[in-house]
Amino acid sequence: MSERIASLAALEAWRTRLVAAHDPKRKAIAVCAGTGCKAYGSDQLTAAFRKAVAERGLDVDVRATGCHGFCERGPLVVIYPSMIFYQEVGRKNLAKDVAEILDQTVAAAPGAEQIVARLQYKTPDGTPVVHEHEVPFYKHQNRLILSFNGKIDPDSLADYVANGGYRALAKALGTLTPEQVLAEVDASGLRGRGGAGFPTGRKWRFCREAVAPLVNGVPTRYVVCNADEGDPGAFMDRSVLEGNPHGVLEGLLLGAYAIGAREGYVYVRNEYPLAVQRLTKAIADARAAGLLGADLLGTGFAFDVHVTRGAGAFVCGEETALIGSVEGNRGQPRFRPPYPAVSGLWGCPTTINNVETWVNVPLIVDRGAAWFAGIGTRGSKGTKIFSLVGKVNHTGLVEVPMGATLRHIVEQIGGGIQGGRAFKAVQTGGPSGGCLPEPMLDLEVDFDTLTAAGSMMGSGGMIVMDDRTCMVDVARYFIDFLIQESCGKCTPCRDGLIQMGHLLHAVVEGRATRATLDRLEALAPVVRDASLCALGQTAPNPVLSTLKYFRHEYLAHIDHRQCPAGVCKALITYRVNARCTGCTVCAVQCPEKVIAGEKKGLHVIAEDRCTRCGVCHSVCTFGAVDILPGRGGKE
Amino acid sequence: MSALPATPLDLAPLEPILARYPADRRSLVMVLQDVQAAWHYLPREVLNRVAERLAVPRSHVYHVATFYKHFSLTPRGAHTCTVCMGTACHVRGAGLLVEHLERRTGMKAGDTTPDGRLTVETVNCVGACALGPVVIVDGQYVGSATARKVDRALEACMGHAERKPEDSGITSNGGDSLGAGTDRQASSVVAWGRPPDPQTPTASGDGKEDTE
Amino acid sequence: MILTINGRPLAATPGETLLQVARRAGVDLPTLCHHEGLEAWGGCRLCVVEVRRRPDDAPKVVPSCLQPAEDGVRVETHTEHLLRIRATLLDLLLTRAPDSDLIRRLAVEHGVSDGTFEPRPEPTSCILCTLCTRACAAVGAHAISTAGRGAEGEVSLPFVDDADACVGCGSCAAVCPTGCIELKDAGSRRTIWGRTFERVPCEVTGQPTVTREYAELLARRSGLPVDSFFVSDEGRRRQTADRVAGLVGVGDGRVA
Repeated sequence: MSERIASLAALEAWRTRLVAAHDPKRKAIAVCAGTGCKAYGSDQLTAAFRKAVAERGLDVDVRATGCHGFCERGPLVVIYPSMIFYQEVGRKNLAKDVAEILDQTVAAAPGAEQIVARLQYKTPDGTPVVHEHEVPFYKHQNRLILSFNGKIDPDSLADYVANGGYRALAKALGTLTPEQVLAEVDASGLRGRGGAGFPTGRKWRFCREAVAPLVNGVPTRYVVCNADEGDPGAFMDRSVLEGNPHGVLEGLLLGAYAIGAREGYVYVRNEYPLAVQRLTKAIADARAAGLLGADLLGTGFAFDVHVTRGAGAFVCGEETALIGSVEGNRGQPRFRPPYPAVSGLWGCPTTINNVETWVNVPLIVDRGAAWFAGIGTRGSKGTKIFSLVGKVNHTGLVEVPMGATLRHIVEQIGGGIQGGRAFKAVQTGGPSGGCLPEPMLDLEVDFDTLTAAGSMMGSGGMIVMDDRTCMVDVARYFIDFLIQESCGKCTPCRDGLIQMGHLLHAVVEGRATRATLDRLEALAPVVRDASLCALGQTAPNPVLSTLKYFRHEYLAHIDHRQCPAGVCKALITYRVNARCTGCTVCAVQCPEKVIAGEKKGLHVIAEDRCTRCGVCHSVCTFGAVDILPGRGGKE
Repeated sequence: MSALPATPLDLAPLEPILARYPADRRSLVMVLQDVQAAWHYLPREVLNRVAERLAVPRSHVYHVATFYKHFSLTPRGAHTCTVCMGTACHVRGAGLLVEHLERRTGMKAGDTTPDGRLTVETVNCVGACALGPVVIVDGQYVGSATARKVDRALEACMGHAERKPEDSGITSNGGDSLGAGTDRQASSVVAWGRPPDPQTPTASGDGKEDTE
Repeated sequence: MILTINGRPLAATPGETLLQVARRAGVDLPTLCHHEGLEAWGGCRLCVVEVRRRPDDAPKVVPSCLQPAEDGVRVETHTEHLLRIRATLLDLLLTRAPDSDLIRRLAVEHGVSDGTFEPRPEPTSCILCTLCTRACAAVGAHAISTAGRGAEGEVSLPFVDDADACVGCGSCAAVCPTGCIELKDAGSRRTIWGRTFERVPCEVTGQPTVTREYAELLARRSGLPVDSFFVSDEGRRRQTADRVAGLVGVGDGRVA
């Protein structure tokens, strides 16, 4: 559908036609086409379904949708309208899985569907689950935003419109003034989802009220979508961009209307090529339909948007650095004031918000501020999407109302720790955040609560760690990451992080003393207080929070030269145990050739030459390689 | 993936790139991205032309080009193996995968093999965290990556079907397993551009037996 | 507007920075990356001060070289916290650049006699203050810039060896606080950034003035003739003296 929609009435008429044409009883096969499922071959799966459906002459819609969120179990398939859920489809035998799903589930009459048992989700005690909304991962979520992902084809403007898309825009352009739209967002209590949690309405108001310089004779302001998503372990924004690009565009349109901008930019990290592709297509379709450009829907409102890509710099998630990058420069942060809301892109008032913030806006305008404010806690309204990853049984994207507890997320949705191991910590806020131990699992997900506990909400990365994660190594990992990403402008971040890195390396390499910790604790507050931007200011958080809650682990490394979690190479020993069957695989695979043993005999690792590369442990199928804390000799 | 550009440098791709954007400093990062995509690195000659055409000093182009990790001033390999170093991948052992690749190629991550066939690099999060550790070989995502899976993906891309990685199971070499597999290891390493190591003598019984 | 610094009420005008107000009041705030002739950079962080808008606010640490003066703001410049920050910053800088006399002097003034952190594999006196690159952009030929990111950053010519744009003005060496830019003047021959230039002799005194390349750049920027730059300060003084003498009508230089 690439005809221009000339008026608000025409948009509604189209929507009505689309809804009427949709037969809710018609069967559809929704195959997830997010980056995760694509990595597992979902493109081939979709093609195979289409071919097989045609061959069988079935009246079934096969659609590739956005990321469903349960990425680890991909490729994911949901059969509509009954919502039968299948996981890991096509991983072992593509043709067989496709054939059985079609013949047993899809081709059968409604009510007589048979389930392909081996592709079902099973709870830890082995109970199979039939429907998507019964799968514990989904059941305990509140998928307001992510609900679009499973339903719509992200490349289809018609799908978005049929599901209520651009209704908020029509309402705004047709019945609300810009000030009213702003007031609605303000009243909703929406706070920025990028990490800082600044009240969105307030940011918009600063921008709207700032003096706008003339560019080609026109007072100019900009709206920007920050899709840099640099926090490692976070992929919420990727999923929204890939699965619902029009949702983001509609948010930008509403923001531009409220603030008085005519142009916008979406800054997407370079590592997300699929998101760039989907967004580019959505923009092209919106332009052709007259939803972007001049005189939108015949109302006289004009707005257009450009996609620009990052080039591999975490610091470009910081708004003044992002501005620098869009302007064609280095992504180097600038002192504030002036704040971007007053002087941003090319000196014009600019509103920069995160992807998830923007995609909430159409919902707020459509259903009202009171509805939105009814979800969540007093200080944090609405839902939040988290990327739940690490050592949990169910990893993927999770959307919960603000106020849900960490325990609810980790245990109910995440299904607890993999392999029945012990929970150790959950890390939120990426390199700016902190690690929280088990006693804090009953904390509510809320901006202020998490900050008070020494972590922060951050953009949504939530990394679960078990007893085999070394918290000192986690601190070291984040500092090493930030050292690479520091722009280098200011002394405390550039030179201070390097020294914090040296100190942490001394701890993990078994060269530290108590004085090392003293120096780390003396240096951290200087980096925090004297750095120019949030990268440096929050860099000490992982170190300080792990020192607060896991000091005993640091002391084990320092006083006893042991890594209790079995991670830090200088402080562990690999040793073959009695389960060894003498299969010789480890000896063959060992890159340093330090494992001796006869076929069918107990193998032995020469511990002084072992480099702890981990290969033997990963190839042994008998669990015969132990990783023991400490170096050398018997306990 | 295309082969390395032939010398002398063919500048033809530059005109269409420059035509896409306004000829001023605002376009610099976008132009550099297209240049990187066309030549798989940022050739000096091309950057000098870009400086001229966008009316910016060469020092500014260099200043911007050396800031972003995605840009490379040295030619990249015909094939790329990218290991994601995001937090989720890290806790699932991405670091060990990097070490594996560094061992097989004899170079550090970020470098390109001397024969120009392979670049091994790390990247800070591709957003496929639930599948960690993730390795991307010539644009193909390998989820839940292991050393063996990565080896297989690389061999599929670089065309060494005759060299199969060790499968689990008992090898035909009886006796002392030290030294078994060295030959096969060395040949795969040669295939990826590193000269073979001299044969290390097999160690036997230096009294370090550890019995439990 | 009135603000207080260390309890003293001081007058300030809109557009001033806290550093300007403080210095005018005789408060000694150290700086390294700051230069009156260049836009403030805010990178070295030595000039940080604590500000409060209201008496019971938590203090905020800000760079005084950039923070605008505001009516009623309360500023502290030498609290224990700030002194610890400055001492640590100088410790970091001295560790990085142990051969710089200026850094050492500042560090000693803050109680740091030696860098206590782990030194770089190859020490450098460059502290990435970017005074050189900013001066080059402002009054020179845009020949140098910072390359690389973070602690790997370095001041460099494009591609390390492209000195084509350099005009030998020497501004970079003149503003460098640690003296790590090599500029060699031997007679009229100047060597800098791996290039040799000839400084043109003054038409009055015969002493070397500026390089021809720099004169050409200045001529383009100012619209003045190239030759007008080949007169040294001393030469100009003599020319002026002669002209004044001529105006007053005393041919032999005596004032009437």
